[in-house]
Amino acid sequence: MERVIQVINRMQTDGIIENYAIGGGIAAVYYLEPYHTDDLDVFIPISAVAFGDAGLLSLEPIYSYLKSLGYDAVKEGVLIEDWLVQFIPTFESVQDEALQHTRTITYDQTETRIFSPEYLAAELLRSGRPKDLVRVMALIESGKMDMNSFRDIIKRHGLTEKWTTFARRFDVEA
Amino acid sequence: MQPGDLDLSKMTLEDLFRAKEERRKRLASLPFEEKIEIVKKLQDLSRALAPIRKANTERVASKQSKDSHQG
Repeated sequence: MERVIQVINRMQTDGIIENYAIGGGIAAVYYLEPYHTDDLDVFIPISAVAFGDAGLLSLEPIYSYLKSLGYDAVKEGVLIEDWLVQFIPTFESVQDEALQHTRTITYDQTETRIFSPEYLAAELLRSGRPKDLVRVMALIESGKMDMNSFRDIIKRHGLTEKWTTFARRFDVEA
Repeated sequence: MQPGDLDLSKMTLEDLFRAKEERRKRLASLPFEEKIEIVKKLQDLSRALAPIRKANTERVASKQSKDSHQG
């Protein structure tokens, strides 16, 4: 994993991406207990993405750069040192803001950034798959979230309805 | 609790939930690097089980197909 982070940091140093943060399952593992997750979700600003003539999104600049380092695109990501890394452009406002409010952590000797627990929970709630909702609940129960800050994020990014439904379903104070 | 102390016949459902919660907290407090090692092991396990899972899925699909033709 450290080597993967070093590669992503190098992408930033080389100007391929201007910023990034780890979200998704691996960020949740940072705050919670470890569980099975297949890939590493790396959120990047939309400015890192190329748009073709037809207006279609392309991660070609990222894939070309990684290919030059010997890492090939597989399935929906790039295989870097035995990790499937997915680069996710921040199309959603909550993702975009999460990139501005990251936590810097150290993995072995290498620094990286991950979503704060409040933004991670908000993004998982937005995503809304059953496994995401389980993680939202686990983050709340972990006591690692500032619930006032979380509720503020929810309100500002149009997630109130999803939150209300979640709170009712799982008996959490909305 | 020591491994020798475990007496399943005396365990209640509450004990089980409490033990599960304690285990979850213990795992959550591990260093991130150790957690990632566990994730890697789970990925390896999942990969090793994939052919068995696929074979089972195919067996069930085949059985269902046969059943629907016969039924």
